[in-house]
Amino acid sequence: MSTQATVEMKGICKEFPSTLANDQVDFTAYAGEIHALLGENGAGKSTLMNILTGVLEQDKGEIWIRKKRVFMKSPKDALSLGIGMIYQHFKLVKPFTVAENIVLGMENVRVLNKRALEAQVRELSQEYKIDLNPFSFIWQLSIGEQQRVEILKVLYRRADILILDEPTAVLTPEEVKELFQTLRSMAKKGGTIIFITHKMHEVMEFADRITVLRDGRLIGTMKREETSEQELARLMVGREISTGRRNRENTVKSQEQLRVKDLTVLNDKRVKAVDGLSFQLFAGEILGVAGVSGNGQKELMEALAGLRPRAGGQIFMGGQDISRASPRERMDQGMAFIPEDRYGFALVPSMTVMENASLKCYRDSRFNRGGVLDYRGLEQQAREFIKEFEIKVGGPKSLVQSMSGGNAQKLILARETAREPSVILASYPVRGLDIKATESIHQILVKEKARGAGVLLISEDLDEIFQLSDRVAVMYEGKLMGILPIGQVTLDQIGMAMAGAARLGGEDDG
Amino acid sequence: MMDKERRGRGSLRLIRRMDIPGWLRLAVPAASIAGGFLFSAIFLLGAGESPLEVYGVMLQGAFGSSYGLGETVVKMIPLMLVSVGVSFAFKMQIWNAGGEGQLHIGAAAATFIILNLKGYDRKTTLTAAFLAAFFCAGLYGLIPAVMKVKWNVNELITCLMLNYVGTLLISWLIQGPWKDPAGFAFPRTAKFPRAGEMPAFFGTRIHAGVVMGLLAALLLWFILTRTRWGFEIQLIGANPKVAEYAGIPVKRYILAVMFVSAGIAGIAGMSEVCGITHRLQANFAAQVGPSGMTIAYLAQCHPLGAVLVSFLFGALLVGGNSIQKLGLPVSTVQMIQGSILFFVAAGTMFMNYQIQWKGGSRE
Repeated sequence: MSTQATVEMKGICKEFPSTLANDQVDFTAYAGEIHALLGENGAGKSTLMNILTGVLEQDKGEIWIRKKRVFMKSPKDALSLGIGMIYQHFKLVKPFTVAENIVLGMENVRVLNKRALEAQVRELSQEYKIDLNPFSFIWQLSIGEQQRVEILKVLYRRADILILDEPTAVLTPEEVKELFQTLRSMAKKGGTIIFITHKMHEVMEFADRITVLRDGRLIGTMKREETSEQELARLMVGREISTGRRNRENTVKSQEQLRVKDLTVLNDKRVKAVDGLSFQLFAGEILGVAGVSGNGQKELMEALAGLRPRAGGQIFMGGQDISRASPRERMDQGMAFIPEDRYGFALVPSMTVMENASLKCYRDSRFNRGGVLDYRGLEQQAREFIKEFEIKVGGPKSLVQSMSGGNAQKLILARETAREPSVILASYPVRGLDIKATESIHQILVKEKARGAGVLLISEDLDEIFQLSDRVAVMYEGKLMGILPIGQVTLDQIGMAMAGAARLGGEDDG
Repeated sequence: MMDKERRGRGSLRLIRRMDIPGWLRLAVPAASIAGGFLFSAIFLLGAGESPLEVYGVMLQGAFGSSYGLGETVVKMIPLMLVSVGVSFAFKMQIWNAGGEGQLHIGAAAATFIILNLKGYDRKTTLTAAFLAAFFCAGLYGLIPAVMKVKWNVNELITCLMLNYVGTLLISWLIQGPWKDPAGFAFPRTAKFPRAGEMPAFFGTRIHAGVVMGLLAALLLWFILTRTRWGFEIQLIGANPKVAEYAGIPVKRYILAVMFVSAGIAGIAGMSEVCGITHRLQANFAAQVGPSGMTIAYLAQCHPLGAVLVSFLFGALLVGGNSIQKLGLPVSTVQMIQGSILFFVAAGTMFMNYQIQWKGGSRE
């Protein structure tokens, strides 16, 4: 490994409305190394790399590329300096071929000389051992192959500083290995490889050096040989946890509300996202599931709600097998779902508060006489929701798109709890909300638990997990890393489990 | 906060309206139609015609006599049935572009019943023809629906393809197996017996199809605005993901709504052959399918709105025919129709967005 610094970022600051995404961050990468940028979601990794690729402009700080101070206004500037970024979501034109995608957008290419292009692409792919047919269409390629096209695209533009944003999130384990083989061969030729990740084992397996960010600040940079998974996990999550419990009543009852047995669910790419997962949820408890998002939480919740097909396993509600039940049947049995995507899944922004408040109850005999809806009754109900949950909105006839995030979420909770559910699935219920809204959402969840509902709370915010949970589980790569009562678990343990470095212990995932 | 802002160059800004006031829903289309006429006036002037005279003749032709008014309603009937039918599917964001094919299948089904069900009275014959048209066209509409639900095939494409299948099937029938043996070379079926003819009213050619169309529009309007099924359809139209989350069996709805939507378009075919032509013949409903879709779009998929716009289209057709006596070609009428359509389509932007001038300030 050479010691020539190709990327130096000094004192980078970047402020967004309401958050300081980067606070005095220094970052250095050398030619010939694979450098991992590690941190939780929202730690500021993507912001830092977006600054390095000219997508964002820093408020303060300097960038030096190969010992020269640079000022970048756009990704084009970055590319001309040899900096290329591979995004998590590929920017490829599906009906075009590999070769066409590679030259797409290059201004000096006016006439497509297909044969010369094919030769160039072949040469490049042989040089870096990237196996691709230049004349395949993008839609014919697997996700891993599409990623290789993205890499070739950047190489074709002669970039030697390559940044990859969570490159392994969409890949199978086999594809991950191939990717890093490619990256290693590029590093050996003197390239600088930076990859953003939150997966510990990838860092330990593939990185030469590691930079850890937390809450927008640089925590440290170290060589792989000089650190351990334990240390990295601690650095990644280690922070003061507010211990103010919001869930003080210990009303844990023993009645089982939900039992999940060996549940396996595929994600949209048809890869296992939930992998043989088992747990029980009891009446009168909040089971907090910590974990970095993207570890199968979304797929788990959707499968429980009946909105995503199971690949295997069983789900029982109140002792009854509901594995094959429709979403409506599960709803009618007392399942409520607060999904992570508020506006794309739980609410229709272009419809009124009343209509959105009615989503789950319009079929009840109170509001429905032989198919004709009692819109006055539904409006009255919406008015009651607004009053009881102190939702700030013009009235039942206002459109949901005029509400703030916190009020929209309150509307969802009002609706979901109105039918006194026995199971509440809550995904990131306070994500993006301010402190006051967060507090009221938490109060509602605790009240529901006290009423006797079993609450399954998915969160990546450890404060929230510690404030609310009666029991804690950690989800990692589609599995639960054990479940422990809140009093018996430490922050370190959770951090380790979140990074996949160690199990929590306690009840087994099975 | 949730404003979706589109920044224009300089200081023009479009801001999405939070609430669309009721008066705007009528004012914008009315102003758009007027705009279309004004715009056309430029070309009429260029052609050396007096726009006022042309529009006067059009008005006179479409509404000025009981014959003209009757013809306007006659032209409106199939347009109304097809547009009401397809707008029902459009409401759910299911693009039933197959009104043309469904209309032809409905006409063929009604023809088959009437020519083969001999010896029954008019009520029985027409009821049977009505049901046959509705069900056969409905089943025809299920083909793209099933393909969409099962294999996620784009219904717009399959519907358009099936239009060819439907219209060419009728061409073959009237030139082949169903051809009137006494009809010389004309590609048409035998004339219907009296029991298969819908009576005309008021000494015009207006037939019972107008009642069917109005009832269909009223029924769908009631379903959409007052019942749980309408609520569910609107929810699916707004966002199928949310609908699934709310427990609505979206796929079943796609099938059911396509069946009804296509069935109503089929009634348009039945009412044309039973009410006007009294036989199945070539070009008995020229341009009705595409116009029906345009009308549904202009009426923003509102069933009662579709009735109004169909009336306007009927008047344009009849009025347009009457200006030919001024020596103007038919394409003039099409030009006027086109510019009205253009203005109405563009006008929806003013309904959904508010325009603001911000001098000099940024963001």
